[in-house]
Amino acid sequence: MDFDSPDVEKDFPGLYASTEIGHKDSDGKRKEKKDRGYAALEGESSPEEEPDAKSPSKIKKNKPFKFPIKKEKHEKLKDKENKDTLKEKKKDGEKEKKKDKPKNKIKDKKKDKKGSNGKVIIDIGDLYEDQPIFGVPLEISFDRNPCHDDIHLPLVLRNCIDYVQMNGLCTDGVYKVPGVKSKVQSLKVQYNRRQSVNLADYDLAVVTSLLKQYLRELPDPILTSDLLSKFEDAAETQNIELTKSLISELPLCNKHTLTWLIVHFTSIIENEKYTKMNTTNFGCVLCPVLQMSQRLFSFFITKRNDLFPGAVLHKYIPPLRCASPYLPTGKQEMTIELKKQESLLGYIHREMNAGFVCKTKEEELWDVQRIITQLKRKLKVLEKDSHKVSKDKVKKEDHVNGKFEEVGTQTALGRQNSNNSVSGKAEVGSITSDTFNISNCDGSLVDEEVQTTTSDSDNEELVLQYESEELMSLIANLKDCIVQEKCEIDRLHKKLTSVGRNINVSEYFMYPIDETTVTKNTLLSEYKMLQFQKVHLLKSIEEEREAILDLKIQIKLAQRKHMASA
Amino acid sequence: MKKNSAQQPALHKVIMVGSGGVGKSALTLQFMYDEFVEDYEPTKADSYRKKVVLDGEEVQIDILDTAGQEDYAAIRDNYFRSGEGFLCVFSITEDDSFQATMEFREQILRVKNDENIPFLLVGNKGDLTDKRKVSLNEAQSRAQEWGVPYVETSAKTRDNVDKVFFDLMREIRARKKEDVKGANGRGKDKNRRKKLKCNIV
Repeated sequence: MDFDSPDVEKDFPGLYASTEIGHKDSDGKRKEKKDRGYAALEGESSPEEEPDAKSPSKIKKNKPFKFPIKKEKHEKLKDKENKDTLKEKKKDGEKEKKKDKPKNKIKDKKKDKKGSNGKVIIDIGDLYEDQPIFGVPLEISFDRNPCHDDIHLPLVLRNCIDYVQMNGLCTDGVYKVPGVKSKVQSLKVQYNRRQSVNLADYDLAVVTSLLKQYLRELPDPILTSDLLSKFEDAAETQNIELTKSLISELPLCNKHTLTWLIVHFTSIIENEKYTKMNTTNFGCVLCPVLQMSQRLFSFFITKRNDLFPGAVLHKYIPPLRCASPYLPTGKQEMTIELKKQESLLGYIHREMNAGFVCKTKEEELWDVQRIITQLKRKLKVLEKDSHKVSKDKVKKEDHVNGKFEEVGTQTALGRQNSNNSVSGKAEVGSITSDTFNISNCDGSLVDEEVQTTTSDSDNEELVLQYESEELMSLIANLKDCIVQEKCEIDRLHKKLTSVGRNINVSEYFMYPIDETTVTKNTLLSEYKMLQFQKVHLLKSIEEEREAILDLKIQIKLAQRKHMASA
Repeated sequence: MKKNSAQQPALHKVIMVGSGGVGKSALTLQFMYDEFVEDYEPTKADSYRKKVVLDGEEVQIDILDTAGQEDYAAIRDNYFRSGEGFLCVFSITEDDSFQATMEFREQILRVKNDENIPFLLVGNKGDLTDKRKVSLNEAQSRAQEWGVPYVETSAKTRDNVDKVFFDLMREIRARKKEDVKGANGRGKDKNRRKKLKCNIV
């Protein structure tokens, strides 16, 4: 079956690429290769001094499988050429090899797939190569490599900007220092092949080089060939209004790209103290890539607040890739996530219609579709429940009874549904749901009070069993709470980024700024107090929980008795 | 998600097809959550996963509920391609929906390129006997013609709902076993399967 090959890749994204050019594993390998390269060079350059006859034998030893006779002739010819060109050619050859290897590997893998399956599968790697992300117009690139929120920025750019905002705002010579070429190249290949890329594995310089390379390879300037000269004219006269209207004329992708780049670059220049990059320096490095004049660039930078009012960068949070337990529970978060998932689904369909059909893609399609269905369901439940609060209780009761017959994802879904029904807001979620539990329990207690009293003599095993069940559900509940908290954290992060606009470094929460220390102290003491209160509350919640647990067990025992007697 | 193929139970992918309003979603939701939804809301596409016990073996079923409307035919192929078994649903109260099953069958065979793809013909709304437009005979003979089982269901009363899903899963499972076993002699398998299938009705 062809299950194996795609799965391996899925488990270790970039596995095939990384063995070649990746970070850690490859270092050893690459050294080897380099050594080999030098050895070969020596072998070939030496014949100039030594008798000719020696060189072919050496080459034979190194590469036994390549047609020796042809090689010999070739090498002999080369020997006659002068040493320098030879060296260059060798270097080129080495580079090409590096480039080619990952491709070959993937191709081999695909071939295996064909063989075992018996069907002819189109080589997806080749297809991707035919429809790259680099070197195509911005809009097409975005189509092939979209962000699934509302920002029309090719993902590769967004990833790079996010990375630099997080790691490079205080780095000396950011964007000036070039990255290791082979690594940049490998990243480019990974993006072109739609592999999931983890930039965190790479150095800052590699990432900035990747961004520059992307921009350099754009066939048209970001400002478009039509408007470019108009922009230049506007910058010459420092005409803000005109420039603004020109910006609004740009296609959406170009507009977003320009905005994000300028805002991003501004934040680097504003940190000149650390980055040593002022507008001029920076312009020198990036103007050629951006295809705009130094004047226009510094106009954008200096008038950033007027030209791009309210523009804020926020980190890209990709759509969730795993169903039920990690889905958000707040209405707003769910709506946002749903939108992202739908965008992702559209993208997958687009890719499949373009011919990228493989097992992993199909699985992805089902997974995303499932997440969408779950989100829609949850949203529907949420809406219904806000209308019918009274009905809610009945449901809850049913739910308590039937909870343990359900299995797997369904359990998670059902539980979350009922959780949602109780808690609109993420934070109060756990507490309210508990109180609801209490009221439910009370209700049933009154109903079956008679039985409860007799239950304590029931066998211990049953008690333990029920207890474990209850504890399991508590665990699940707590997990949900954790997810909710995570959502809250995300939300706060977003808020932080938008609020922190005027304090531009702390915006990406790296180096705290001196002026804030005064307010910080007062906040800290306040925080401590709140922390103290929280601990107390948590304790009481815990106690309540234990009580609930006991009660629930009693109820169950009572129910059992009741059933037995009836 | 990623550990699926290694240790998790077998996963069977089922696709619901049929015209709009015949009750594909109703069947799915009844099977998934034991609920019957009265109000009609056209589906674009929905997907569900459930763990079930099939003949003593724990398996997972993935159900893809597709759109009945022609508007979404463009994305249908992408889904059909990845399906392992199909429930082709019509409403016994609506002859058009019965006629439409021919097209769905054709489309599936075209995409899957396989005559013996696990497939069930399902006549839904079996509770509305007084409104029946498609006779049992008619439906059965079509199923026979295709060499597939025919089952009448009611999403409302939950009649035969589990049956159609479980029967289909059994077919898918049998099919998978066959595929593993007889990669060499496909033709033989096909004949054997045909014989097996005909007597289910």
